[in-house]
Amino acid sequence: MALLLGLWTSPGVGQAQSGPATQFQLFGHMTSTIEESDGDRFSEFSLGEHDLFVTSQFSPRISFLGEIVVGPLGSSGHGMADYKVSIERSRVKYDVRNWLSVIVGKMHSPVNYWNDVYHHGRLFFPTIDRPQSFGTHIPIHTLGLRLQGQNIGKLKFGYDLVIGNGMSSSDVADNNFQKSITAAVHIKPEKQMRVNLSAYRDVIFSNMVGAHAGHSSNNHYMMGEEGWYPVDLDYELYCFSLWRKWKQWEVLLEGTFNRSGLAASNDPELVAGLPTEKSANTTAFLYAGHKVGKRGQLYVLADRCRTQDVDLHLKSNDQLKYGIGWQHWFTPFVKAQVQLERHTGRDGFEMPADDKLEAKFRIAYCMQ
Amino acid sequence: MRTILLTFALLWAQGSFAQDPVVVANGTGQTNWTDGQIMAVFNGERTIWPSGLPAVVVLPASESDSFEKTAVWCFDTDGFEYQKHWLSLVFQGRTAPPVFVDSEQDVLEYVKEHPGAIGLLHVVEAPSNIRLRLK
Repeated sequence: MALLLGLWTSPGVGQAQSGPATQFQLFGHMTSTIEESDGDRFSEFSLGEHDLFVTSQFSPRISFLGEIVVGPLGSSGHGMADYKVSIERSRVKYDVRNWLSVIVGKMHSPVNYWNDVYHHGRLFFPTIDRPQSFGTHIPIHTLGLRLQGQNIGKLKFGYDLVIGNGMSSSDVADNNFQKSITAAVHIKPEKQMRVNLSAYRDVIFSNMVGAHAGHSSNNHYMMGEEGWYPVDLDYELYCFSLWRKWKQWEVLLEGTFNRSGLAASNDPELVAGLPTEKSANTTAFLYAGHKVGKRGQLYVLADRCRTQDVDLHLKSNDQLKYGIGWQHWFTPFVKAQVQLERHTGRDGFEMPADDKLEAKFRIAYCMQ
Repeated sequence: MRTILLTFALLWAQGSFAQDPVVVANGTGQTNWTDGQIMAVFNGERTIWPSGLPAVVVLPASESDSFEKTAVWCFDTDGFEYQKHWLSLVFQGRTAPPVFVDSEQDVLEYVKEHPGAIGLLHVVEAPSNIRLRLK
C-alpha cells in the first residue's frame, strides 16, 4: 500500500543516475454487466484492458512514452476468451521551448478532450464507457509527427499539429503518399477549464478500416459485407470539447461533425451509381457530475450518434444512450463505479436501434 | 479582560508567525517571480526555465503534511486531488512526472544538488542562495 500511495519513484537524494530514468505503471479494470434486451437477460464478469504505461527520460529534454495494452479480442463477442496485445502509444518527445515540443511516433490523435486526456486510462474515465463516437467517427491514433505547444499566454493557449498515417493504414505501413492532417487548438481560461476545437482530414483508401480507426468497429462496413465498396473516400472531422470543473460540479461536452464522400482519385466508371454527395454525420456526448463528500461523485450522461444513409464508410444509424452513475475513489489509484444506462434509437437505418437496459459495475486501478 | 487580551495576543501571534512557504530552486535563470508563475510550475504547466533547463518538481511523500500544504498552496485543493492531477497529466504525456522524496529536508537536498529542480518548504529553513523571491 505504501507503494501505491507514493507516486512514481523516489530516487533518493544525491543518487547518481547512470541511465534513463524509467518508470512503469499498470492501468487495468474489471467490469461486470447485467443486460436486458428484448426480454432476454444476460450477465457477465469481464477482465478488461490492462495497460502497461512506460515513461522514460532519455535526457533533460528528450523523453519517451509508451503504452502496451493487453485487451479482449472483440468487444461484443461474449463467447470469446482471447486477448490481443497492441502497442497503443510509442512516442519520443523533444521539448524545444515552453511553447514548442516535437513528438514522433504513435500517439492518441488530439482531436478531442476525451481522446487526448483519458483514452486507455479507465481510472480517469468519468463514465464507464467511451462516447459512442469512438466506435465510429474518431480516428483514435495517428502514427507520425506532431508539433505541440501548451499553456501559452494568459488564456493558456495550446495547439497540436499532426501529420501522419491515415485511418486506412496499419501500425507497420501506410503504402501511399497522402497523409492525415490534424489541427487542434485549446484554451484554458480558468484553472479547471479547457475548450478544444479541432479539424482532421484524411483520405481513406479502398474504404479500409485500419489500425487507427475507432475502437469496436461494429458500425464500419467491413470488406465483403453488403454495402461495402472498395472506393477511396475523403474524410473530414470537426470536433468541439468543453471540460469544466467548478465547486462541486464537473461537466464534459463532446461534439463532432463528420463528412465523407467519394475522393477524386476514384475511377469514375467504378463509382458510377454511388452517392456523389458527402454525408453529414453528428455525435454529441454530455457528462455532468456532482461531487458528493470527499471521494464520491454522482453523474448523468447522454450520448447521441447519427450517421446518414449516404455514408459509404459507416453504416447509417441514429442511436441514443443515456444513464446515471456513481463513482467512488478509494485512493488516487483505485476507484469503483456503477452505472445504469438505457440504449435506444430510431429504426429505419442499417444499424438497428438498440433497445436495452444495462447495469454495469467497474473497478479501475493503477499499480506502480 | 484577561481573556480578551489573551485572545488578541493569540490572534496577533497567529498572524505574525503564519508564514508563506519558501520556494527553493536551482538554476532557473531568473530572480524575481510571481506566485502565479511558480504555481504554474508546480501544476505542470511550465516545464522549462528561462535558463533553458527543464523544470523538475520535487515533492515530499504524498502522505506527509507538507504535501497537503503544497497542494493547497499551488492547486487550491487537497493532496488527494493534487495526486490525481499529476497522475492524469503524466498519462496525457504533457509533462514529466515529479520527483518524490521522503521529507522536506530531502526536498532541500535534492534541489541543492540538481540544476532545474524546484521545491516548496513549509517548515525547513532554506539558505538564501536557492530561495526564489516572489513578487
